[in-house]
Amino acid sequence: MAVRASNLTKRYPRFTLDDITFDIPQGYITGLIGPNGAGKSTIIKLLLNMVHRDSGDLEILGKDAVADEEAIKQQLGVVFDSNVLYPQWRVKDAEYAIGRLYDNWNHTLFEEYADRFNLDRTKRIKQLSRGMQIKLHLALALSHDAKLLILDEPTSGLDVIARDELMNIFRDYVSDGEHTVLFSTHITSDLEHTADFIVYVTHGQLFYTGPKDEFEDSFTLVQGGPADLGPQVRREAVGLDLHSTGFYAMLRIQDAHAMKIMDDPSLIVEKPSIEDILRFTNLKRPPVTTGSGTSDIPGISGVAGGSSVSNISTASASVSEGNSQGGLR
Amino acid sequence: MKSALLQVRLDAIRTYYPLKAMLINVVTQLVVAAFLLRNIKSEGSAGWICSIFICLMCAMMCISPALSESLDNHQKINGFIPISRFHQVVGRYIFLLSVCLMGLMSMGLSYLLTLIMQKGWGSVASTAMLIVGVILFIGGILIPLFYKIDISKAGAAMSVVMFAVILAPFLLTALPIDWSIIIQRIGAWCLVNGTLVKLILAAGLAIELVASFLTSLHILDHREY
Repeated sequence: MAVRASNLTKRYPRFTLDDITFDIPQGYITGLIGPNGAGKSTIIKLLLNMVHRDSGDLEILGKDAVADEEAIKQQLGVVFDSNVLYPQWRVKDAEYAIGRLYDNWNHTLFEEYADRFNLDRTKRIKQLSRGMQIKLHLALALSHDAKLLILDEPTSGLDVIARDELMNIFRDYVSDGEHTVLFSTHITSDLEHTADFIVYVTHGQLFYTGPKDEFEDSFTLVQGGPADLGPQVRREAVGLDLHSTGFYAMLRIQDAHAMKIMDDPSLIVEKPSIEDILRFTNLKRPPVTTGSGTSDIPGISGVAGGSSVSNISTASASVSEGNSQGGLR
Repeated sequence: MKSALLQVRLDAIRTYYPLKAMLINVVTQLVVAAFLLRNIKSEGSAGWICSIFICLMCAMMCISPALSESLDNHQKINGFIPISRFHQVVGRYIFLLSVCLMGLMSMGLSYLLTLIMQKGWGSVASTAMLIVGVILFIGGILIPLFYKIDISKAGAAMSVVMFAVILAPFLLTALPIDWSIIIQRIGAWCLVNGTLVKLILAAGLAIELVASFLTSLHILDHREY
C-alpha cells in the first residue's frame, strides 16, 4: 500500500474530519473526491504533516508519516491547487531552489518536462498563467522519481486539453506498477477515464473507498413524472431532486432491484456518472416521515462496513475495520 | 545536519541569491563607509556608525526568509520539502550565523577602507564582537517573532517597538529621578569592569539564543499550514 490511514481524526473549531480509514493501493491512480469543504484538503495536509492529527495512524510508503517525514518526502511529489513558489523566482530558479533538496533529482528529466510543458526557463513565476504555474509544479514533482504523487486540485484552472495531457501523464506514471498517484478534484470528469480507485469524503466523513467501477455500479438514477414517485422510492432514495415536471432519484442498486424499478416502464433508469452520485448524495433530502419521526439528513446516508454494496445502510457514519477492502461506508 | 544545511541554502535563495545578496550588502557598506569617512571628523566614530549600519542591514537580511515565506502561498512550500520542522528551525539559526559572518566580512572591508583613507576605526575586535552580538540578539528576537506572527502583525509590532524607542528618552526625562546620572554611573561601572560586562553580555546572549531556538521550535512544531 502506498498510503494506509486508520481512524484519522482532525478537529477544527467548525469542522471535523472524523475517523477516516482508507488505503491507497500502490501502482494505481486514486481520486480523492468530495464537495467543497468535505475534508479533501485536510486529508492532503495530514498526509504532508502540514497539520497535526488528533488521533489515528498514518503510514506512507510503509513509514510513519511524522516520524519518517524526511525519508517519506524524498519520495513524494506534491502539487497544490495554486502556486507555492516564490513569485519572483524564474523557472530555472525554481529548479535551482527545489532540485537540490532531493537526493534523486534528475535535471535532464526536469528539462524534458519543461520542454514538454513549454515552460520558458527565463520567465518569472508571477508572469506565468495559472495553468503554466501548475505545469511548473508538476515538472518539479515529477523530476525526482517520486514514488507517490499527491496533487490537490491540480486540474482546476486548466483547460480541457491540459487536463487530458495531465491525465495521460498520470497514466504513464503509474504504468510500471511502482508509482502511485493520489489527486483530489471536484472535476469528476477527470476521474471517469483515469482513476482506478476512489476515496469519497463528504461532511468530514468517509463515504466510500474502493474501486471506481464498483462505486459507479453501486447506484442507479431513476427519472419519472410527478405521479411516478411512490413512497418507497421517496423513502429509499439516497438523493432526491424534485421539480415541477417530475423527479430524479438516486437509489442504491440493490434497493432498485428489490423494488423492481428496472421493470417499471413508466420510469427511466440510467447509470449515474460520478458527478451525479456526488450531487445526489449531497442533496438535502426533503423531510421524510419515518418510523422514528421526521428526518432531514442530507442525501448521504450510505454507511457501513465491508466492501459489499449490500452493506449500505442508513445508519450514522462509521468506518469498517478492513483497511484493504474497498466499500461504501 | 544535511537537512539543516539544505534549509540554510533554501533560506539564502529565498533571501536572494547568496552571491548577489553579499555583493549588494558589501557594496552598500562600502558606499556608506566612504560617505561617513569623508564627513565624520571624530576619530573612531565612523567605525561605530558603520557598525550600526552593518547590524541593521544584517538584521533585515536575517528576517528576509520569513518575509518572503509570508508572501502569497510560499509557506506551503514547507509542506512538501524533505526537511523536518526541527531541521527547518536549526537551518534558520545557522542562516543567522551565516548573516553574522557576512556582517563581519562587511566590517572587514569597511575597516580596510578606513585604513586606505587613513581614518581611525577604534578597536577592531570590540567592533566585531559588537556586530556579531547585536545581529545575534536581534535575530534571536526576530526569528521566533516571525514564526509566530505574519508579516502584517510583525510590521505592527515593530512599529510599536520603534515608537517605544523614540518615546523612551522623553518618558525618562519625565521621571522624578535623574536617569542620566544613573546611566552615567552604569556606564562608568561598565568601563571599570569591562571583562565582567562582556561575560555577562555573552551569557545573556547565549541564554537569549537558546530561549529563542526553543521558542521557535515550539512554535513551528505546533504550526498548521
